[in-house]
Amino acid sequence: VKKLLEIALGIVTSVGGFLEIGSLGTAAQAGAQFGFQLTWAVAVGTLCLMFLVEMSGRFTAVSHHTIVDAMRERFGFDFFLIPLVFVGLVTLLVLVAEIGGVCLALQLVTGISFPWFAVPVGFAVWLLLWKATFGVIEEGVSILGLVTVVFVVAAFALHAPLREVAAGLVPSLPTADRAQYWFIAVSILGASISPYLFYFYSSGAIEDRWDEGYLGINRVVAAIGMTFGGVLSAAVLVVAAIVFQPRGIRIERYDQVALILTEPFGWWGFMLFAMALGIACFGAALEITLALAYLVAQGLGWTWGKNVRPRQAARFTLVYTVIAAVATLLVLTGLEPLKLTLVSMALTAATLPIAVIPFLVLMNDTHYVGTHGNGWFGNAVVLVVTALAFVLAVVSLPLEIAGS
Amino acid sequence: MGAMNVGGIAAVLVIAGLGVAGCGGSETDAKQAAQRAVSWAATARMVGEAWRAGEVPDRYAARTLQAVRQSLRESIRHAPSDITPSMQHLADAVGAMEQAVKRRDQAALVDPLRAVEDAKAPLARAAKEGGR
Repeated sequence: VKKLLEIALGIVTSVGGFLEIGSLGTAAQAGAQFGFQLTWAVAVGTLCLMFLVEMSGRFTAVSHHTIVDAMRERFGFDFFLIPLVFVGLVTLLVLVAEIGGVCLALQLVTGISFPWFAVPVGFAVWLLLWKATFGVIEEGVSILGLVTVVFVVAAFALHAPLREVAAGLVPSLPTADRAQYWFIAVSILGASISPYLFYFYSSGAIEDRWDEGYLGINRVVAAIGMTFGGVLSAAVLVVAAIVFQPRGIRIERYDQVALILTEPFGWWGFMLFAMALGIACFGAALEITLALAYLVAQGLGWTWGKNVRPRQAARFTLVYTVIAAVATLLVLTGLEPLKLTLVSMALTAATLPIAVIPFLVLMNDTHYVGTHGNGWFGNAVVLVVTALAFVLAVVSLPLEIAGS
Repeated sequence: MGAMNVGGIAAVLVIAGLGVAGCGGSETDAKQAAQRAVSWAATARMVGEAWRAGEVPDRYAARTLQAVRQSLRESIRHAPSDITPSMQHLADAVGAMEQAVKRRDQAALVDPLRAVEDAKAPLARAAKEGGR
């Protein structure tokens, strides 16, 4: 019974914490502009994330190392500086987008410009990190994030044509706007396979004291939780395709996305969207701030952990304080949130090999994983999707920036 | 062998990607500008109708219409001259919608909504044909 409860909680946490500003923004843009045609990108990204999350849980449960900790040990500190700098900077941009997302949700409800909310939201993120335990951060916000299930309900309320949606699972070339099509595809992949997600998951497994007894739970949670999470992303795409595409609306601002649920649910739809955006982005902001602090502290060999008092992990605490402050300052500059989201997601895809390939080496190193190493299929899926995301990002990102 | 396969896949993807890059620039400026204007017109209409139905707050509607009007004015500066009159009409109509929302005058929204549709029609044609 205890294991079943743990599985249920793990799945709920995965589903409630799946959507964030990247997956929401990219899926809405994809649906509005290309209908169901980019559903495959959501599926491919989710499949790859499912493998990576399962691997990170398995790695930590067996080796009792976090990915970052093992990466520094296995490849040396000089090599580790590369992921630290690149993954760290790109993840910081994603954090700015998430805090911006919470501020935008507040703007939608109050009408007050989003930069005015940057300081209170940044402070709330920091305060919760300071006061709450890992369990509260991971599970509390994710349970509130279940409000995002409203997108699945909306897809059914709008009578989504399931056959056409399923046809979108097969990749196809667009008839127009090809550069934009690939840029959105790569942004979806970047939003799905953010390295902070599996770094965070690995650190969480240490915080929750996982051992080999958790391998089964880990596998079930990764498979079912990520599948349902992917369904949420796909639902956003489907609803956007039904609501925006026939009207000819292309998404260039989050103000437009705010109308996504008004057709099925009226006034409540607007409020539910604001709630979903605010809660999902707040949860992601907490996880990303923590993931960045884990990255720095584990990489530099400092004491870390959310289940120890701040004074016992003073440098770790200082890192997340500084990160929250820097991200808040960047939100204050009033950067266009949707553009920032898309660019940061595409940059995430471009830096994926730096985060993923060393991890795959670790997953095949018997010194760490013993007999629990990767099979050829898992290696192949992750390598192919990472290569696809990297190449598309390298080609489409300069085009998009030039086009803007 | 595995590494070679990955390298091969990556090479194919690079070539495919460069093909994508080559295709990206073929659309005319007029077509792209018209497509964006049509999208803004549809956004303004959707916001206006949602506001009339009481589905969105006043401040959200006013702010979004203001953003649409500003985006249109910005686009007019770079758009080809053959579509700028329609874009100008559209921006004016959206401005009138914004004023109606700020005054909370639902009746005053009817004419600008119709004007948005009138201005959108030639832009929609230009978006399909690539401008004249």
